[in-house]
Amino acid sequence: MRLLVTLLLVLLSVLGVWTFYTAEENGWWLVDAVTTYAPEIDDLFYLILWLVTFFFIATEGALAWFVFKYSKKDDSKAVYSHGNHTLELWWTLIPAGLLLLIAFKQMGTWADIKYRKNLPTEAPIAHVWASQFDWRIQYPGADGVFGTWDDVESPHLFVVPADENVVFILHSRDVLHSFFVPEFRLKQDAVPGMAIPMWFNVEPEHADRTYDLICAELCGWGHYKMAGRVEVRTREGFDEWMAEQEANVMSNGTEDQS
Amino acid sequence: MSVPPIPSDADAPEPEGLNPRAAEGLRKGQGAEGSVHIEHDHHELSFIRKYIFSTDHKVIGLQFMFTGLVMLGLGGALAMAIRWQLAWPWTQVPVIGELLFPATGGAMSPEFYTMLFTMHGTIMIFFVIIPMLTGAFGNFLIPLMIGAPDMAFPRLNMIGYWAMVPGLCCALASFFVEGGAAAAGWTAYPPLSTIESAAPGSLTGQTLWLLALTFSGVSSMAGAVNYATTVVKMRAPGLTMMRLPLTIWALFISALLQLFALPVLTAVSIEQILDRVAHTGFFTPTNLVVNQMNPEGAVHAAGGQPLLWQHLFWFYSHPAVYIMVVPAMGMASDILATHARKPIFGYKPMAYSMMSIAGLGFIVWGHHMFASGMNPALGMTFMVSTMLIALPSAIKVFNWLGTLWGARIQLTSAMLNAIAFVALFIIGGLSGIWMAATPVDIYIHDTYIIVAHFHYVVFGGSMFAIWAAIYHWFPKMFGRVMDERLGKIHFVGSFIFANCTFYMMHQIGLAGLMRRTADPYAYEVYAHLQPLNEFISISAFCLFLWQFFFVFNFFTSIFRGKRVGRNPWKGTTLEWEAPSPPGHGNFDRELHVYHGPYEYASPLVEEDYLPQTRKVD
Amino acid sequence: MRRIHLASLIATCGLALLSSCDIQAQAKERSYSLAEEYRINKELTLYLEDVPGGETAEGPLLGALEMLCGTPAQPQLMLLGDWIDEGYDPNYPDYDYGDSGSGEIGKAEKALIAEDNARVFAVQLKSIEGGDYEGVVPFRGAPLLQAKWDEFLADALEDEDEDGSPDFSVEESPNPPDYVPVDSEDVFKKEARTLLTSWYPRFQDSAELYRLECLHCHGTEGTGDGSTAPFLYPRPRNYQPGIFKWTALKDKAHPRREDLYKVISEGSYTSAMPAFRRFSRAQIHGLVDMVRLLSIRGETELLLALEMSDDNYLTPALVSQTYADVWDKWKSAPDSLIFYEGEVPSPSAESIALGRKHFMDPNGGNCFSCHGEKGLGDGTSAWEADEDGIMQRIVDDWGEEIIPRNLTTGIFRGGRRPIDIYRRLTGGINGTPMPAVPDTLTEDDRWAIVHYVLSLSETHDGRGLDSIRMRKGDGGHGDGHGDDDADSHADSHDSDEDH
Repeated sequence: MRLLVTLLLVLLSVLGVWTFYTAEENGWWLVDAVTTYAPEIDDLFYLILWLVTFFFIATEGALAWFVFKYSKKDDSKAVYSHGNHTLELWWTLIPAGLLLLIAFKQMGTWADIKYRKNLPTEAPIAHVWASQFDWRIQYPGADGVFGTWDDVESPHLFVVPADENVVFILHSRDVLHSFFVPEFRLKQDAVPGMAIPMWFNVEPEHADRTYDLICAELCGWGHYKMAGRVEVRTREGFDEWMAEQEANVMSNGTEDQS
Repeated sequence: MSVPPIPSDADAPEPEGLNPRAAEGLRKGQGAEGSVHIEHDHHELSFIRKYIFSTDHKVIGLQFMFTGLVMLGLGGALAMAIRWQLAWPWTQVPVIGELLFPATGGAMSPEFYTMLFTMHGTIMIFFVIIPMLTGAFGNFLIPLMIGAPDMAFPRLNMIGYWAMVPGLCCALASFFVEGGAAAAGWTAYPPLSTIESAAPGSLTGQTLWLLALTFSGVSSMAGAVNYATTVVKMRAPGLTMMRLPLTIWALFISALLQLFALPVLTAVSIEQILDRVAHTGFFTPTNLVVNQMNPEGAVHAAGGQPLLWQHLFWFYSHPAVYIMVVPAMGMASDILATHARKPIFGYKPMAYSMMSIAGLGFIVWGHHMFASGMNPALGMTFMVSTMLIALPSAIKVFNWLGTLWGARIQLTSAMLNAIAFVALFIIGGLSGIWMAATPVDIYIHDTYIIVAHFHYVVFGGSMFAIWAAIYHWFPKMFGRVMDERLGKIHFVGSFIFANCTFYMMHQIGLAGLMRRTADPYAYEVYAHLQPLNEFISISAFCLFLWQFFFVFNFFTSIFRGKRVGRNPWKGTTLEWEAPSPPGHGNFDRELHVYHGPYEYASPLVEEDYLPQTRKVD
Repeated sequence: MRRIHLASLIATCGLALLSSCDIQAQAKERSYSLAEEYRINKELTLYLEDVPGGETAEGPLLGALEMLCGTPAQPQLMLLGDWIDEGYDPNYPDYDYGDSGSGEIGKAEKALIAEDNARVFAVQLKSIEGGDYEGVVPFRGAPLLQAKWDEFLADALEDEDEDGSPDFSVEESPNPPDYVPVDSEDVFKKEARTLLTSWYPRFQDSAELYRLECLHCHGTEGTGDGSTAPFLYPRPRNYQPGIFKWTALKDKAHPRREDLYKVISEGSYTSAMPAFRRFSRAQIHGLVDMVRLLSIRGETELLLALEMSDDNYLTPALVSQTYADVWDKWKSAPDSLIFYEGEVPSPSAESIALGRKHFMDPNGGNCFSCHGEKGLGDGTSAWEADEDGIMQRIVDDWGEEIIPRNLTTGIFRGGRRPIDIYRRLTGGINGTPMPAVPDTLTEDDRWAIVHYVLSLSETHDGRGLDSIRMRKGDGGHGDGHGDDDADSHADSHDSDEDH
C-alpha cells in the first residue's frame, strides 16, 4: 500500500506537470492572442503558471516524500512537535509577498481594459445586441447617426477594422449574455438594462481573419449555439464592406430578380 | 464574548429564566463555569420518536448522512448524463434516452441539458455537501467531541433536519412539473430565472428550486444556531477554546459563516420568488423583449437590476463554498493527526487560518462577477482580497505537510482519503490563483478551468474528506469498522478516476471551451476537443461505478462489520471516550479535560497517545 | 499479488481499454408520423381520427408519403415523369437543369459557396494542408461528406511505397465531373481541397444537420412541435400548410429559395429562430432544400388527408397529381417578386406626414386599426369577440394568438431595410391577419408609409434601437457612452410582447 500510494502521488505530480507541458502541441492551450492588450494578460498568466508549478511540485513532492518515508513500519513514537514559529512566519510572509506582487502587477492591465475613463476617445463603431440566441450588430449607416432609418443591421457578423481602437457598446435584449472572443482576450457580460462600452485594437498582422464570438453566460437552451463572427479587415476592406452594406440597406429589390 | 458566571454553589438561588431541568443540573454541580448541563428523564420512546422524529443529535446526524448519500447518487447520475452529452452529443442516451426523447431517437434536447447541469450543481451543493458536512458530521460530532450529552436545542435540531425534507421534496418534484426542473444554472441569474418564458425550467421549476433553497436555508440556520450555542456553552470542564479539536473549530466557524451569510440568501431568494410569482421588479430591467409564453403578458414591473441578484447571491454563495471546505479541512486535520500519531503542526495558526478564511470569505464575493458589468473598480478591490484569501489556505497546507513530517503514518482508508484531500486541495487552490487575477479571468471566466477548479476543491477536497470522515467515525456511529480492504480498493480507484476526470478540464478550459454548452462542437474550433471530452466522460463513468465499493462496504459494515470498542484508532479526543455507538446522553462518566486535542507521541506517557481526559501528574 | 494491487491494476487496465475503444454512439432510427390534426383554414380543422379508414389510414398514407419524400434520415424527392424527361431533379439543386439537376444554384452562387466552404471547413483544410490527415476533425452534420472523405483517405493510405510510406494512389478522386486519378500527395491534397470547397449537401447531409440544429424546435415532420416548441412564442414555423411569412412576394405565393435562405441565415429577430449565418452557404442551401421537402411532404399529406375524408381512395394518380400540384406552387414563386424600379426615396417631413395620413386612413392603409394610433400594437382590430361575446385576440393561420407589431421598438422580423417594409405593405404577411395595402395606394404612397413607420422607432440619440419612444427630434444628446436606460423610459408598461 505504501508503495502504491507514493506512486499515485508521484504520478499525480509528474503527469500534472507533463500534461500542462505538452498541452500546447495537442491544441489544449491558450489560443493565440491578437490584440494590443493581450500580451500583458498572457504574461500575467505565465507568471502565475511558473509560480503555481513551483509550489505544486514543492508541496506535492513533499507530500509524496513524507508519505513514503514516514509510513514505514516503525514502533517508535513520532516526533513530538506542535509547530515551529519561525517556519510559520516564513511560510506566511513569502506567499503573502508573492500574492501581493501578483496583485499589484496586474492592476494597470485591468484598468486599461475595463475602466471607463481609459476608454479610447474614438466614437463607437457599432452597437452590439445580444439576444436569445444570436448577435445583431448595428452600424450607423451612411448618415453616421445611430437609430435612424438607414442603420445597417448585421446579424451574426461583426466586421471591424484592424490597427485602430474599435469602441463599441454592448447591449442585451432579454437575458444575460456575454461577449467573448478568445483571441482578443476580451469578455464582458451583456446585461439587459445596461449599455456597456468596450474596446479592443487588433494588431495589423492579424487582419483579414475571422474570429469566433462566443456567448459566455448561460442564456437558455440555445446558449451553446449562440455564435457570432468577428471579421477583422484592414481599414480599406472595412470601408468597402460598409459601403456594400449601406447599398444593401437602400436596395430596391431589383437584384432579387432571377 | 464573556459569559456571566453562574454560581455552582448548591445553596445559591436559582437563576431566573432557566429551564428547570438545567437548574437541576446546575444544582448537581456539573459543568464548568459558564456551561449548561441538561438532564432529563430516560423514558422509552416509540420507534418514531427514536428514529424518525428524533431529537438525539446522533440520529439526526445519521439522517443527514443517509439523505446526503442518496442525493449523492442522484447528483452523480445527473453528472453522468452531462458527461454523455459532452462526449457524444445528440446520440442516444443510455437508459433514459428512449424513455424521455422518443422523437429524436433517444438524443436529449438542449433544454434538458440546461436542466441537468443546474440540478447537478444544486443537488450537490445544497443537498449533499452542506448536509453531509454540517448536517451529518456537525450534528454527530459536536456534542461528542466537546463532551456534551446533546445539542443545546435538541428540538430545534430536529426541526433542522425536517425543514430540509420539504426542500428536498420541492427539488425532486421540480423534475416532474411542466417545463421540467430549474434550468438557469445553480446560480439562477435573472432575468433568465425570473422571466417565465425565458427558459422552460423557469416556468414552475424555478419557483420550486427557490423554495428548495429557502427550506434548506432554514435547516442550515437552525443547525448553525445550535452548533454555535453548543460549542460556546456546553463544553466539558477544562475544555477551553484553544483545546478544541480543529473539527470543532471548523464546524463552529462554518456555523458562524452560515449565520451571517444565509439571511442574505433567504432574502434574495424571496425577492426572486416575488419577482416570479407576484411580478415585482427587483431584478427586471425595463424594455425586455423576451420570447413570451402568454401574449397578453405576464406583465412584470420593471426598473430593477439583474446585478442585484448577483451581488446578493454571491454574498451568500461565496461563504457557502467555505462552509463546504472549512469543515472538511477541520476533519482532515483530525484524521491526519490521529492516523499519523503526531500532533497537528501549528494548532494556533490552523485555527486562526480558518478564522481568516471565514472573515476574508465575506469580502471576496465579487470575484465571481469580474465580467458581470459591475463597476471595474470593484474588480480591483475584490482581486486583492481574493489574492489574500489564498494565503491562509496555503498556510494550512504547509501545516498539514508539517504534520506528516516525522510522523508514524498508518495507511488506513481514513488516512488515505485524508492524504488525498491534501493532495487534491492543493491543486484546486493553486488553480484559483489564475481566477483571482482579473485580467486572466477575462479569458478563463466561465470556461472549463473554472469547472476543474471547483471540482477539485469540492470533490477532491470535500468529498474525499467526507469519505475519510466516514471511515474514521464509522466505528463511533455504528460500533463496527468498515472493511479496510474494500476501503483501500475504493480509495485507489476513486483517486485515479477522479484525477482522470477533472485534471484535463484545466487544459480543455484553457483551449477556451465554455461551461454549460450542450454541444461544444457546434464551433468547429472546438471539434478537436472531442477525444479529450470522451476520455473525461469515460473516467467519470468509471468513477461513478467505482463508488459501488464504498456503498457496498458502508451498508454491509453497518450490519456485518467487525465489532470494535470505544477507541479503535487510539484517538485522543473526547468522542472516543463514549461507547461505540454512544447511548442517549453520550457519556457514561464525568469528563474533565486536561490537555489539548493532539497529544500524540507525548513524552509524558508510554503509549503513543495521551487522551484529553487522562490526567498526568 | 495483494488484492489492493489487483484492484488498481484492473482499474487502470479497464480505463485504458475503455478509452481506446471508439464508442460509436448513434441516434436511433426515426420515422415520420402523421399529424393528429390538419388545420385546413381558420374555420376547418380535420382530425386524423376522422379520416375514413382511420386506423388503416396510417398505412397507405404514410407509405405514399415515404415514396414521395423518403424517411427522416434519408429524405429523397420522387421524380415525376415530366421531370425525368426534362432532366430536372430537385434532389440535386447544384447540378445544372437538364443535367439531372434543378439548376437552382447558379454559377455565381456556386463560387460564393466555394469561398464559404473554405471558411467553415477551415480547421479541416488546415489539417490537410499540414499533412495531418488522421487529425482531420469529423464533419459535423455531413455524414455523406464524412463517408466520402473517409473512403478517399483510406484508399490513399492503403498502398505503400517501398519505403513504407503511403503512395497516395487512388483510381478516381471523388470530385465530378472528371473524377481525376490521384497519384501523388500533392494531387491528393488538391483533390481533397476540391472535395471540401465544392461540396454541396445531399439530403442525407441536410437531414443530419436538421436533426442536430432544427429538429428540437421544428419537429421531425417540420410541424413545429419539437420538444422545445411548447415553450416558445412565437411557435416555431409549422411547414405543413406551406405558408411562410417572410417572403418578398405578393399574392400569398410560396416562398422562393432566397426567402427561406434569408430567414435561416439572418434569423427572425426576437423570436427563438436565431441567425444561422455561422453555417456555410452550402449548408444553408441544404437546409432550405430540407425545409422545402418537409413542407411539400406536409402539404401533400394535408391535401391527401382531405381527399380521403371526402371518401376518395389513395390511387397512384391522385398521389402524384397532388404532389405535382404542390410542387407547382413552389415553382411559380419567383413570378410574384415585389421590387421597385428606381432609387429608394429618402424620408422628408412631407413624406412622413403623408405616411401618417395613410396610416390613419380607414380606406387607405388602415394600419392604426391593428397597430394603434401610436403604432404600439394596441389597435382595437387586434381583438375579436368569440361566440360568448368575450374579446379574444385574433389568431394567425396556424391557430396561434397573434399580436400586431409594436412599431416603435424598431424590431422587424422580416428585415428592417426600407424595401423589406415596403414588401410587407405590398404583399401583406402570409399567414397572418396583416393584409396587403389596397391597390389604390400608389408606390409613392407606400414609400410614405414606410418612412412613417421607420420614423416611429427613430431615436437619434446614438443609443440604437432600444427605446419605446414616440418623441421625434428628441435626441442627439447621447453619445453612446454607457449610461443606464433606467432614467429614460416613460411607458414601461409597454413591455407587453408582440409578434
